[in-house]
Amino acid sequence: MSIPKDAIKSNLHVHVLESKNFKTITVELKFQTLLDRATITERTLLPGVLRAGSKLYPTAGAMQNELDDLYGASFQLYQSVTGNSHILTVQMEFANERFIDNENNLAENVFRFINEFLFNPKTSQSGFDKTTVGQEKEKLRKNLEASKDDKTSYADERLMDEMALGERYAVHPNGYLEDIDAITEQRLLSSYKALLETARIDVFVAGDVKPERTKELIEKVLTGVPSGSDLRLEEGAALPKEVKSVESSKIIREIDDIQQAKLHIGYRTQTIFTDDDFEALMVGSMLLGGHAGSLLFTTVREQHSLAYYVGADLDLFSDKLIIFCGIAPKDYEKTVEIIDEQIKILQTGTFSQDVLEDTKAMMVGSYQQALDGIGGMITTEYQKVLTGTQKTPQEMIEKFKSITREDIIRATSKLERDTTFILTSEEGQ
Amino acid sequence: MEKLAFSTIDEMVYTEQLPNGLNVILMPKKTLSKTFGIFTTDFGAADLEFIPFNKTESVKIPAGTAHYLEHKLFDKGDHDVYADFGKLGTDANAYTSDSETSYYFTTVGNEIDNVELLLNFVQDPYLTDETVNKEKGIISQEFQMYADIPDQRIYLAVQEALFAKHPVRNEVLGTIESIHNMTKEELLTAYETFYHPTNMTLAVAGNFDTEEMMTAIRKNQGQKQFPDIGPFTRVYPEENNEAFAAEVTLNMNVSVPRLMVGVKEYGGEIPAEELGLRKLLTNMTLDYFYSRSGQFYQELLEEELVDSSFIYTSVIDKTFGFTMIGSNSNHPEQLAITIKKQLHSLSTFELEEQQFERLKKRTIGKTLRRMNSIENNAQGMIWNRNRGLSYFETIPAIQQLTLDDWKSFLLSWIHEERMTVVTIQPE
Repeated sequence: MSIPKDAIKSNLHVHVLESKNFKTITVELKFQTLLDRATITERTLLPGVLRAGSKLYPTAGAMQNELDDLYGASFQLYQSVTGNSHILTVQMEFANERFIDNENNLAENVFRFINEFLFNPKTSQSGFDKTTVGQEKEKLRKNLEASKDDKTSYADERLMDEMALGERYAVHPNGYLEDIDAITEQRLLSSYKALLETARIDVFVAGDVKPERTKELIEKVLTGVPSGSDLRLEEGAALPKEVKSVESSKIIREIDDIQQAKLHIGYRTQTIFTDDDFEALMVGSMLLGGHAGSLLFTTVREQHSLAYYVGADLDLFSDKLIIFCGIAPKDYEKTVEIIDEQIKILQTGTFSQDVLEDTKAMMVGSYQQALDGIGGMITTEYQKVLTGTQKTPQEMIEKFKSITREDIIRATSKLERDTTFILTSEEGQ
Repeated sequence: MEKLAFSTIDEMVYTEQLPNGLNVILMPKKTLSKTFGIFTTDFGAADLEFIPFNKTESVKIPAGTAHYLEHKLFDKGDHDVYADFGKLGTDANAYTSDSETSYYFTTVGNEIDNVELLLNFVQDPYLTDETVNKEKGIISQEFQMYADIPDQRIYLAVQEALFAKHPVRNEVLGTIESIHNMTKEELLTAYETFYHPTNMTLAVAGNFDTEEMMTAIRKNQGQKQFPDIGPFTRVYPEENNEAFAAEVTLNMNVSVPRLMVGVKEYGGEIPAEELGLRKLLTNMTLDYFYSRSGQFYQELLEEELVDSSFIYTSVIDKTFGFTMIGSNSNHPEQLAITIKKQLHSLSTFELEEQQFERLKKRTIGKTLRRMNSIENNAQGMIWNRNRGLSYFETIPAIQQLTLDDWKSFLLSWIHEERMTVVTIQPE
């Protein structure tokens, strides 16, 4: 579903979020496509390549001079993965003119800058700039090699390799080492053109701004946006089309030279964002391991001193819940046993009324707080697009308040343990 | 209550020092729904020796004491303070740095209850041998977690290489040994001096009524008894301005080597005015040359000496200052030589007025972005006040900087004997 009154071109969805709380204005353009193993490595290279220069500002120095003249506007290009979709984001944050003497064209110049970098990139012959592409490939190669050194994210990735096997969701968000060599500057440019042709494009402007004037500016200045295409995603494309149940749960064990073992356990939830039970599942997940009074924190950490960090994380855009902790290698069995007990307590509703009320209050508070920040305002607005619901944060807040013990039993009894991943030392064998 | 208006950036600040010595800062912002409260003691991991009020002998406490106390103040024996905040629907937390320990919450609603709880739990320690011993396992796991993170290891190794004696060279957590030997008595000794209201600041920012809040805080503090003490003296070892070690290499389970060049800014106390100026100019210089578009970063990138893990950071504080620049690199020796050469070239670098004016604009924009956050503003107010500086006058301070200020800073910034090179090599 699109919002016709805000659609300047058939595929540019404009969201103006007014707030007087900020000394700056933030603009975000988001290009959403389906996550794909075949294109993810190219997509990972794009932010760096685009940021390296445009025809008008071909060098980093020229770009920085312009940004400095825009009163130190920040300029971010990054990619992210949300559920089944890939999102390329361009973000600029700049000072509200009202705090600076003798300035009145900042907003227009910022949109001009975005238009230049997105739609007039530095190219030669039929590809992106060769040197830049080479540098970005090298950077990505090093990143992927070094990411093995971060044991927590390594454990996350390995868990999803095993658990989401065959799903779009298993695609590594930062690409694949073995795909880097084959990427040429020509192939990357055509990949970018394909992205622009097919992506759903949302633009957010947040801060102390006037909606009508902002829309006029976008129409006047963002001239490079390509016209519509049937291939563009509808709302709700980030969510899985179907939920899975667990046939048999697996345990994967790996040995490494580490001091602290990483235990990550994945559960299937059988529930997605658009389901009625989802808010109850969110509260259940937080009650399990989302705050310092949660079941896992008070047992694994406080009562048994087994871990410094332990928690549960529900992905809002999937059907998965992850428990994670860092423990001494010898404590594996004991920790798993305690985690199982806590899951049981959650599913049978045998937790205290206090922890339920506390969790609900925190859930409500954290949603309200998020709406106080520019990032939170944009995230919750974009959430509607990604999930295809019109559920507002205020409606979700009301629902959190009404969740009962029975709601949590119903929502969490669908949890099934899928995959356990343990990265441990020889000692933990 | 003193009212300070910073009209050019729409900020209003109320301050008061209570009869017991506590400093209170209120920053109301009615258009928000949330409120942030932070209670900070001017006591961090690098405070390990002091002469208590009315004494002549100095007292030493073990490495990691500030951090250990931070953990223990949440433990009330029969329950945890997290649970008390939980009942108010609030998430609370704390952190310890080299120079301070802070306890904080963010809430929507119940603002006064939260502030009272924050004051009460920090001002009512429950320390027994049993509760102190229980924490050893948890803090040891925290220690092991950091020990496996190469970036943490190299950061600490640079501090160790730069400082010979100043306790900033220690890990905030202490050592496995100091954690295991921590006693109730040592924690209490530190608590009595450093958690006295005269050494603490409470800042509250967000959606609340200023008068009601201040009245509640006055009443809460008026009901409590604190010993009537005067100032104590912090003791730091003699530390010269030269790096302790010029080169250090560690071996670790990493796939790519890591390299960090460290610069020791100074190892003893500097005056407030100099601190403010050095902090601005050091950070502006690093941004100018080493941010992604900076000339020096571009050179390193072109020579394929760095990747996107490249970082630079600078800590400029009352009694110590240091800067770090580094990256994962397959050519760590060459990277070290190049960064040092770049830094040395700064004393004679050709600089123009226009470059500096642009850099000032950039820094002003960045400062405004940071000031969007009430959390940053509350912490910034405390940090600056504890060092004799004025947070909301940062922008005028930037505007007043001249090209000559920058030139004279660069002329004397870098000295070979103040630098160190730390490398992590794969095992």
